[in-house]
Amino acid sequence: MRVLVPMDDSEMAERALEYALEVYDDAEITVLTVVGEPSFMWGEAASIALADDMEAAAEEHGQAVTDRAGEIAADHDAEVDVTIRTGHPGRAILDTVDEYDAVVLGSHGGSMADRLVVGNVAETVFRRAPVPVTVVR
Amino acid sequence: MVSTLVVVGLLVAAFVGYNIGGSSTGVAFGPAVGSRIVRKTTAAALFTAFAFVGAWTVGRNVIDTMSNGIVPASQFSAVASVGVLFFAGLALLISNIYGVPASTSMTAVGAIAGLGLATGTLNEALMFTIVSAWIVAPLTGFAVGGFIGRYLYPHLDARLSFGRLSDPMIHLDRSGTVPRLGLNENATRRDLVGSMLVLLIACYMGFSAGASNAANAVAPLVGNGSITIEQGIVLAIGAIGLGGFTIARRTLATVGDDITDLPILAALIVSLVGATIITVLSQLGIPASLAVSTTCCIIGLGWGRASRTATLAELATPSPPGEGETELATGSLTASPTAEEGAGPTVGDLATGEAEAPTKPPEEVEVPGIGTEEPEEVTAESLFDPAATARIVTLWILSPVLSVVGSYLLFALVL
Repeated sequence: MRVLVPMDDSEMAERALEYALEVYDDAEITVLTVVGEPSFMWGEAASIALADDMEAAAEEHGQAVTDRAGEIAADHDAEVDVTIRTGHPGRAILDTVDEYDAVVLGSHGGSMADRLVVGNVAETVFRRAPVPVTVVR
Repeated sequence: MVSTLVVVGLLVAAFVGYNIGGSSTGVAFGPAVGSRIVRKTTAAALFTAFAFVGAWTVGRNVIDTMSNGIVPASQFSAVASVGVLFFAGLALLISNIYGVPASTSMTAVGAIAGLGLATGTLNEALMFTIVSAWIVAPLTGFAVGGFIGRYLYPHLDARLSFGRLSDPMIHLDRSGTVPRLGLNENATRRDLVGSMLVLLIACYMGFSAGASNAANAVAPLVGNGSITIEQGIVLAIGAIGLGGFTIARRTLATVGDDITDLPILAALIVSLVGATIITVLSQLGIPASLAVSTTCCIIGLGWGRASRTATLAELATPSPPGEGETELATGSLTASPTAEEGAGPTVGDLATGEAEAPTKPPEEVEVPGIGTEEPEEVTAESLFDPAATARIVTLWILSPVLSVVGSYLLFALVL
């Protein structure tokens, strides 16, 4: 069984990963983090676009979250795969979700302004993913 | 009764100016404060000074347009003035609460246009010119940003470098009886030139913000003759300065935070382009949004640069398939900050000191239990999502539209 856990830097996302590690303890868990997401002034997206090596810049932006995911997995004596994508979080998650049997994600993350620009990510995934979705709160 | 309304008008105008100062200081001085060239207090002082110069010179043209152009000055009764200012203040209040950069200029013009529609006095030709400028200005910002990003940015990046400062470049020397501005003596000449450039362009942005925004706070009061244009400018800049010294501390961290992700060179380019567009429009007497033009320039710059990289990479690296992917997977495993080598430090890096962080030993970073899938190729299209761009543009359009409708209904039905 393959489980996708989309994460941002919020506490809810960490709880989602912990939940996934506990409930799907024999599953193959992949942590997905999305960087360079749209914002009002497009600062992070543009900073990745302007780098000489965009892939490296994207990885650098996702580093904090993937490191944290690794630490949480280590605490549970488990292994997780990590993958980094760029752009709109909801779309990036839905693009990869076909490869998995289930999705576990935190109920919210991000400010009101973020949600105005990208929408409610958990809700988007919950409504449109073709696989079972667990929203952790 | 009328004099009470004038006092209410002045208070609402001051409130509008206060909020403008809060949000504009962040946009103008975000890079300068983020890279520690100046402290927040110095930034507020410089912003206020240059906004005043901008409002006193070029800004008069915008005040003329908004106080006696879109609608005749005679339409600004005391009640109408308060109504128009109320809408500008409401839009700013909402945008500050939610951290959404709504355009004061567009909202204030919308409220005046609503008044004009309700009373049948709207100068439609002028309004057409203004709305055209609102379409042309962001497109110009996008085109200029795109051109620079695609053809010039790598060359500029190779020639200009910006270092990190541990102490502010300019500080207030309070040791004497009179506070004086002092220069940081430990800085190298190259840092000094780079920092001066960042600061100069921040001041230029302050100038353009003052030129464009002073009218939003006081134009109706100037129109109805409650105050003269000079008194209006002093009131507007006083309130804007107050906002710069107080709530800008917050917006420098929130609104400015977005720009802070940009490399310093990019922040300079977009500030320069945005400020120039707004200064030219202000000279022509056309109110327009600094944030909107700057944002379009950021999208253009990033999009132009990203699309160029993709083309060059395809042409220049005839490596066997798969090699790039291996490299990527390694990169995310070792996680060393060497990935950013060659790319200039961002404003945020400079502030937090990340750029100088020592390379972590690999064993510390290789957290047990982490494997990596190869990341998808990063494209300009994925970074500048069209649907998200459309959402942001919709939000830009929404506030002036709501302002026109609300103001029309208020003046047509209630007053």
